[in-house]
Amino acid sequence: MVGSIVHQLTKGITAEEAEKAGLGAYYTDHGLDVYPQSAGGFPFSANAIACKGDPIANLQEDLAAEQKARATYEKLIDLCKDNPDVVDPLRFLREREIVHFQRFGEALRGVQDKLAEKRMFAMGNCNWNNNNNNDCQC
Amino acid sequence: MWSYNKTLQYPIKIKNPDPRLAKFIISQYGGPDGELGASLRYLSQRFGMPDQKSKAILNDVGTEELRTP
Amino acid sequence: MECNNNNTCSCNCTCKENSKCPTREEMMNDVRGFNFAIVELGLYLDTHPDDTRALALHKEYCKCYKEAVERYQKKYGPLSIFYPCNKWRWLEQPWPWEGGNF
Repeated sequence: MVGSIVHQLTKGITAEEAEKAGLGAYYTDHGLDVYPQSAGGFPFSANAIACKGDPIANLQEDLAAEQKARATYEKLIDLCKDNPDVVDPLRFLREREIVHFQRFGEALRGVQDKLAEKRMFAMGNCNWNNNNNNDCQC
Repeated sequence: MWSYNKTLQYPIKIKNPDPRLAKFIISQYGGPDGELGASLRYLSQRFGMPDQKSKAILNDVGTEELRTP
Repeated sequence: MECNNNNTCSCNCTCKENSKCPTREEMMNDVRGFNFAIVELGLYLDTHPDDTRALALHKEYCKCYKEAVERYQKKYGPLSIFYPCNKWRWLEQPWPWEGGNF
């Protein structure tokens, strides 16, 4: 969707128009292809794919990422407010980030419960169900 | 497994090109908080999740984000 | 959202006069709307798998989606390559990013 927006916003523009819009450098390197980069011109970086090998850290990262994406969409909506054709899909995408944030929060709580459960097992091999036996062999 | 449906999640019909806005919006494509990074992050993180729900959420949100770049 | 609302067309759309015949845009809106509902319910059910009401809605929308896709493809060609045609209709329409399948 974002690629489609960029494509349609630049469709058929001339080199002069690209330059006037501040896309001269972009046009030089990529023409009117949709190239994954930041607004500041930095090409896509795998740094964005933060994987820590730790479910809690990863999900917290994801919660923050959804909020950062929401914030970015809000800034874009402000910048594009005169163009309803653009604002409409941006508002849709912004709302999706909020739903994803909600679901990640629920997933995080599930993971925390699961890990807490694991720690309980790690306490030992006590037979908790056996009420007759008081001398636990932990 | 990737398979393509010939639709967009939300219709995009921009009547007047405006490259000035494209310069900003491309950040949500390949920028630090963009959709490409998000989808690849979730689809990479799903392998290490401890329970079914978190695996499913990362898989399914990652898939949805992959529709949006 | 209802499944068989006024966008139903069981006549293979040879009846151009029939005012009940949905437009292409209406048919695509059905496809997109049901698809969205399924995606949204799917995420919800991932963390609330025991919600029977959501599960029932999911079931209903899956049925509606299947019907809407079938209806659309019959008239306007494939939405995915998993729809066989007698000729290669995949190339016929503009792509979504070009404003096709609006």
